[in-house]
Amino acid sequence: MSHVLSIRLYGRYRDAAGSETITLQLEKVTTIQDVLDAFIKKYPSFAKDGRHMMVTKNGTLTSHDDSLTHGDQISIAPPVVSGG
Amino acid sequence: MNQPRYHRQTLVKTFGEHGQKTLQHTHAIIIGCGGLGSHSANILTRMGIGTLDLIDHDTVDLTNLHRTAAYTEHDIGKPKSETLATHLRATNHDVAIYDHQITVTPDNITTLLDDATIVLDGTDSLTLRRHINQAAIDLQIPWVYAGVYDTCGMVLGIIPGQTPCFQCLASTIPQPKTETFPVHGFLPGIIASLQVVEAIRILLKQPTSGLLIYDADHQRCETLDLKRDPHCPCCSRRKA
Repeated sequence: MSHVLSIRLYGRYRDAAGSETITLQLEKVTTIQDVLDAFIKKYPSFAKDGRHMMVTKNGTLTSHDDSLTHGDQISIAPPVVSGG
Repeated sequence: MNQPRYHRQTLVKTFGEHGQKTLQHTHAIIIGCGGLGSHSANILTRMGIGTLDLIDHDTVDLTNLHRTAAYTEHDIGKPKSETLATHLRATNHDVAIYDHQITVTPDNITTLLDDATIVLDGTDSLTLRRHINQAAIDLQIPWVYAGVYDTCGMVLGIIPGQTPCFQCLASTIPQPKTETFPVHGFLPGIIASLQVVEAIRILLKQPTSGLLIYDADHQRCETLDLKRDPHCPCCSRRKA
């Protein structure tokens, strides 16, 4: 059974999607990485951001190997910038 | 206090005389006097900060001029901190300005930041930001991260024990592939302004804003609300 997740996007991810939120259909929903894999599959140009994508789960920054449970609110933002 | 100089900003209801006095009694330290640091130093000096320490080991380069405040072609080759301090002293003699042409290291950072009320990030180094973060948490001093890249900038006000710290973000930060990063000339001025706003909010005990994400291509500023990571190896070790 596939799962449909609503994801909130920030920065250039939102621009690419043309929307503040998108829905992703996943075959399995076990970890944040599953969500990111589906996101990159849909928007392959962001694959280079890979492990540096900023993800929050229910408002808290979380690691990509963190687990997911039904009802978690997920948002994805581009990596933090470091120039000065 | 030089009242006529600051009169217009004391008319701002959310700042007022109280804000001006708070600023006058503030000792801010700016680490890095390039694109971000030169602009934030310029704004804070004009607003009437009490004491300002400017720290940068580097000298002015031609490639700095498109995005920095204050420096001219005549300043190329001169120390950034000293040159910026000279310019700012002429801008506002009310402000005590000290310049330090030194490299910030884990060995000297605690001593450098010890007397600060607040620290503003003007660096372009992730490593240095981690040192600032650790020292700020150890000393319980608020600091404001800012970064720019291409057409995007970010700002995060960090209050040890209350907000997420820089280390909370660290796993998401890519190591730069090259020292020559793309950046629009207008971007550091915008992001430094947002950084100063966040610093003023912290000084006036107003709520921090979360992670501000500014995108110049779309003239848009978003806020990513963040909660503290209770397992952060850096800030969760200390109690609020």
